[in-house]
Amino acid sequence: MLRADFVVRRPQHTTDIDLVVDDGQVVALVGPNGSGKTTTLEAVAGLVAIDEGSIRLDDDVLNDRTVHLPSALRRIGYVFQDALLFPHLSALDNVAFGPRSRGLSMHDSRRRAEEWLERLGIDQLARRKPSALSGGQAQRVAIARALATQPRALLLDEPMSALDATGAMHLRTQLRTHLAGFNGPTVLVTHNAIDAMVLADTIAVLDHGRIVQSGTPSEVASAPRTDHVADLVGINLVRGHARGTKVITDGGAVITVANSMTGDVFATFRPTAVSLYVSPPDGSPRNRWRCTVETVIPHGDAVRVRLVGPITLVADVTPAAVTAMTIRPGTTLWASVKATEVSVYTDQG
Amino acid sequence: MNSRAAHALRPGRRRALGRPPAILVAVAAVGLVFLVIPLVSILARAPWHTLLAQAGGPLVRQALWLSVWTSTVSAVICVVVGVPLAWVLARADLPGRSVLRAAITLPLVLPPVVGGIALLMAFGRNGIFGRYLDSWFGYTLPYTAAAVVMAQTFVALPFLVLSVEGTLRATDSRFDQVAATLGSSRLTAFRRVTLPMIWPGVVSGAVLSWARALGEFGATATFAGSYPGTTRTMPLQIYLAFQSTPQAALSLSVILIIVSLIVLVSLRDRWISGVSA
Repeated sequence: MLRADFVVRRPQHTTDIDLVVDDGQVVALVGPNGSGKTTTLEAVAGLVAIDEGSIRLDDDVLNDRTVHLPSALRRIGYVFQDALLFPHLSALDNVAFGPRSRGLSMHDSRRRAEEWLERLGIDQLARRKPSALSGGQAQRVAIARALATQPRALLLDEPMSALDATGAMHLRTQLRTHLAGFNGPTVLVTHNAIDAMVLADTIAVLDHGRIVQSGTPSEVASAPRTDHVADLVGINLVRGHARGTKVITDGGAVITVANSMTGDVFATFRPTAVSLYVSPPDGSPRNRWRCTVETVIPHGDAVRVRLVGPITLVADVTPAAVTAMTIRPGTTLWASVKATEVSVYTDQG
Repeated sequence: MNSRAAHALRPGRRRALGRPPAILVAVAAVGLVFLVIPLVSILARAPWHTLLAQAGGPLVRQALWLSVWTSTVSAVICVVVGVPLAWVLARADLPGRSVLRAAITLPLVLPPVVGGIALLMAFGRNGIFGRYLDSWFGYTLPYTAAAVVMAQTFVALPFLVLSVEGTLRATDSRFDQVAATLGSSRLTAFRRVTLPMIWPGVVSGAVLSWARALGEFGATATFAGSYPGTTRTMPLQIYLAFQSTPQAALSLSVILIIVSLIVLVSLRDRWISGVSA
């Protein structure tokens, strides 16, 4: 278990964080640039020293008023934003670097590196130098490099930010598998709502160096504390199985989508794409579900409504609509989403 | 790899950007001509028919050999001492860094004779440290081959330090952080990450300092003197010859130019381009 309760002071900004991450739990840190996300990771990794408080991992103090355990001794895996593979070493030797630094022989380090490259499905790239790898391949090598040290905790700083949409999607799916298999606490910094929703058990929202909100992804999405959060976590995400342009959800509901796909997928649509009606709406390419309003929470100029029905979803509507349709907890409504508004991503590793 | 990508880009980029500006090419030509004319002149006037005989003379052979081995030892010392010094300048948090850098750069601007005098004050028979060398060990540095190496290292070290420090600054220091999170000590990170990454800068710094050591005259003459076989390097031999028989000095100069060219060109091909490709 990771307990980070600390203050880092810098001339321009102060980061004051209180964060607990259980073993096997994935916490996503989201928030605007300069809100202290990376500083938090760096403090936990020992790359910056804290000014107050303490950082503990299980029963060990990593950093407090008297102790500052050097990064090299913390055994915390760190995946950097732009991969930062050592340019002079092959993919294999990049991954072998950690085990080698921790005292394994060259032979054993390389063998462990081979195992990890294989687990990430990139063993055929072992001999390549980083300059001959794509962004997604480099990030996979970086993840293998972090995991090959058998870290006690894992930190990921926007691992998908340098990738195109397809690359990000594939890596996200793969990362989900590996995070599920990782037993220590994981902290993930991201700007991307889908990353946070798919990968994290808990979302912690940072603003001006503090955690302003935290909860499960759906809790945070239903009741965003600020507009920025509403925007950041404003995504409906439903898992299901695709057959052509139909996605059958785990709960048995059917979502019609524009693109044909097969296999396990997740379908996403923005809360602003959801329309609410008092009576069943018409129109052929529409998805419509009879739902009951659970919560009604205003944020900025809009109101976020959480609805439960065949699927659970959030919708952003105007305050005028709330008054006109008398939307309040318990109201029964029709929620509708155009097929073209739904994006579908494969969920197969 | 990067340089290969740059090569691949170059033709297209040149065409896309148009011809190089005439003014830049013209001024570059002036600079080139200024450098080349004296060298061409010395080659034109050289007594080529007696050159081989000159090079075979015992005094010349001694001086040439002395120059080559002392310069090589100096260059090695520069690398061994200078790379850590450059690292400290570029990466360590230490107060008064700008003063330290100024001190290291000073031998570049001082006349080498002043450097020689400074070395005498420190390590001469009556120097601040030299007197103990003499009284405790009965050893005097000046007028030995070791003094030649010291004088050459003194003037050549800044070249290596500045070259390597520049390369270090151009290298992302976050790789040190990556190495730390992977469990490596700072020394291991230096050895396995930083050093390989700055190696091209180290090699070119070593070549620069070797060349500077080979051409060293003033500090050597002042601190080491001019004893045939032990301290009379090629530059001293040439100067001496120039006082009595200018024709001989001309031949010796050509010999030094040829040796320098051979070494620099072969190092370029084997090491520098080999590292960057």
